[in-house]
Amino acid sequence: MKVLSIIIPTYNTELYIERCLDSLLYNDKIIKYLDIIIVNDGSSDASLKIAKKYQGLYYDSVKVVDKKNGGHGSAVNAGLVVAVGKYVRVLDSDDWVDIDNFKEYVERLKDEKADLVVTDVRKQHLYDESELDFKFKENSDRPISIEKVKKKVLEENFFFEFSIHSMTILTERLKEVWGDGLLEKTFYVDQQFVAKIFMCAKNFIEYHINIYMYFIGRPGQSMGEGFFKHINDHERVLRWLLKTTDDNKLPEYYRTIVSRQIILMLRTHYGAYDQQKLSKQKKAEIINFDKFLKNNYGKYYQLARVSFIMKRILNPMKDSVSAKMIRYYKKGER
Amino acid sequence: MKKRERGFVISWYYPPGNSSEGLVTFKLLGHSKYFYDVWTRANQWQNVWDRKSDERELVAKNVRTIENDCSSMEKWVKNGLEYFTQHRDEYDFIMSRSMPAESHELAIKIKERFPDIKWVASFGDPIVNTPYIDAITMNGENNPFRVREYLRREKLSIPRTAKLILSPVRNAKSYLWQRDKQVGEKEAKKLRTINNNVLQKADVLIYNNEYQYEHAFSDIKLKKYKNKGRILEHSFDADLYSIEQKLKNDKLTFIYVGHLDDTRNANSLFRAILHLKKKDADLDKKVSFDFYGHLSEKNKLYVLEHRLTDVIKIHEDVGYLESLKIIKSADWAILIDANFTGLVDDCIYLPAKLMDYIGARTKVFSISHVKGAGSDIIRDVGGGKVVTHNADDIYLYLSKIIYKGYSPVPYDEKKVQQYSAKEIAKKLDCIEDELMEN
Repeated sequence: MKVLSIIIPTYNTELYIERCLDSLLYNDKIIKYLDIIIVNDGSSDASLKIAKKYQGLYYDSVKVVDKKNGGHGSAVNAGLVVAVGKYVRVLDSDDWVDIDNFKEYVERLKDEKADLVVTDVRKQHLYDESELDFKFKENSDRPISIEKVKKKVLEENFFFEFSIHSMTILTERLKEVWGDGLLEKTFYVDQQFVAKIFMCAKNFIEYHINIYMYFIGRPGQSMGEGFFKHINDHERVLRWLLKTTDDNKLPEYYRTIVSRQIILMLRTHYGAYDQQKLSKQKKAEIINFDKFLKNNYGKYYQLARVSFIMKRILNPMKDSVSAKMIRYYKKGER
Repeated sequence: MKKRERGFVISWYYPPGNSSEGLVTFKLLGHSKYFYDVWTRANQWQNVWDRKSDERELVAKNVRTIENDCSSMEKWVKNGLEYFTQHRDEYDFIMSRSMPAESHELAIKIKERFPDIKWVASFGDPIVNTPYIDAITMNGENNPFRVREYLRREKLSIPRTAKLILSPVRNAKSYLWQRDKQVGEKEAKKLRTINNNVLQKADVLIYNNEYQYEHAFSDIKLKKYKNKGRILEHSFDADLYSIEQKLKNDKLTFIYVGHLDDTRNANSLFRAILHLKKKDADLDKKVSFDFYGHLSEKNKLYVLEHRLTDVIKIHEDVGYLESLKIIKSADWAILIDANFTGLVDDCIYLPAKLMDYIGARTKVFSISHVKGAGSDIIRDVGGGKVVTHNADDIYLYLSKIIYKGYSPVPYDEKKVQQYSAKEIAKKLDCIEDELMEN
């Protein structure tokens, strides 16, 4: 029986994907429990060739889905269709897993009952060779109701403690709420993935082990400067998240959790407003979005406004939100 | 029969002095069809870059060395100009080789005095606009002792800020830092001037890899000189390896031969080894890591503090021929590039020792940027594994090697031969033929 499906969206990562696969396949004893799905998202380099090489070597545990380029979300969508493991998670092809902890994690998943399993993430900063661990502090050997997450959402590191990198979910449960899946040709769909998990998970457990090695330092990653380039995608995901809050069938705790997600994303979104790298056209789009938010989701509009000002006051040196944006808010220039 | 042309090569480093730059020059010139006189410094150990061994055995029939006083660079340059002026008629072209940049400085002076002389300028490493030089010249750095910088790093109360503003210690540190920066800026300006003069006046510019070549002309003002550029990689000399066959070692052996310092360091490798040792108390029975040459004090202390001396052995520097024996007899040879992630995307440096590793057909464990001169070559010729400077990444592949018997794709013999000194020297000859014809 396959215990864990690992969806690996792959786009032009020929220099990294071997590390990703080598780490997963390091422990011979657990290979038979793995359902590794490499989704080649129209790579123009040797990624597909490498993937097929591993498929040939581990045909029982590695499968390759080859598709036209459609972005990270489309690759996860394609992977989930063929996932057969009891649990499923996503692993980016330039990241990898901790070889020592991964074995323990898979062994534990075999008998696991919880809907959602949360593991720690180690963020690897290559430029200064430092590491930062993101750990969830909830301590329990038994599954905890997802409602407890409500308490956590007020804490700052929410994104990493409950992120695409830390979450493993029952495959069937996720498929029930998957619907149209993640947005195609769109960055930041990891926020959608997290939201979908909260739509379906009723309880969770934390393993307190580092699994995910999140690699920062590869040229062309969507973090950092890439944000300005992909700000329209950020808006698309925001709109999608906002729309899910209209669904009254979803439990109340979902709205609380997703609200936190939305507020943090809004803060990042508006923070780009007076950055010099952002074009006038994109700035105008932020203003338009702001109007949309005010007219349709007044509650978030107000929360975002308070959030900007508080963050600026409490943490003036590190804040990416500009003073200009705050002035804009205070004056109510709209 | 036409007389073989003779070149006047200006190279501060050259055997019998033992240094990477000098050895690269030796391997290259020794297989060329041309004659060369190498204007070099007398073999005195000046700094950490000079390994303390004498390479008297390294002699090439077509190369004569002219050693000169090296008590100061200025004197060496001045004497070089005088010597060349007296012997101008003996030479058909000149070649200058950096580092250091003073070799080019002498060539500039010769070219100014004899504008008709053909000049090949070879850059071992770029002399401007590189992270190494920026580090030395403190280029682009802000004074860390300014109050503003303290505030940028941490949130300070008003009384603490006031205390900081008035602090005589902080003010003194700030003054000294500023003074050093001015020295650095002067040095940076000098290097920029030399670089621009070389690009403008030399007939051919040699770089040792494609990344370095592109980097050298990344400034739009310098693009006009790009067509003078040629690529000539480092090489290995098959005749210098005295061991024919690899020996079977009792345990897995990793070696590093050469210079490491605070910038190019073994930090992440040592962290990975510590991680391995924590997981495996018998690690020392399975593997050894032997370092020959200079290591930073920080790295040495790390080995001692974490009781890694049973696994990591630090040895004295060895001579070049001895180092080739060590390389040949090891299972894996370690290559470490400086980690400039965040400053540059790709590694523009090609370590000369990589070629010696390849020549020995020893497997290469390379800690470098994923993309770069050395990494590309390893992937192309086979025989090695490239990992990033991340300790967990290194740990993963060391584990695979030690416990799973991981072995990289074997060397592609045909591709290896591309880097033999004979082949690279042929490329040099073509460049010089072209120079002579024009």
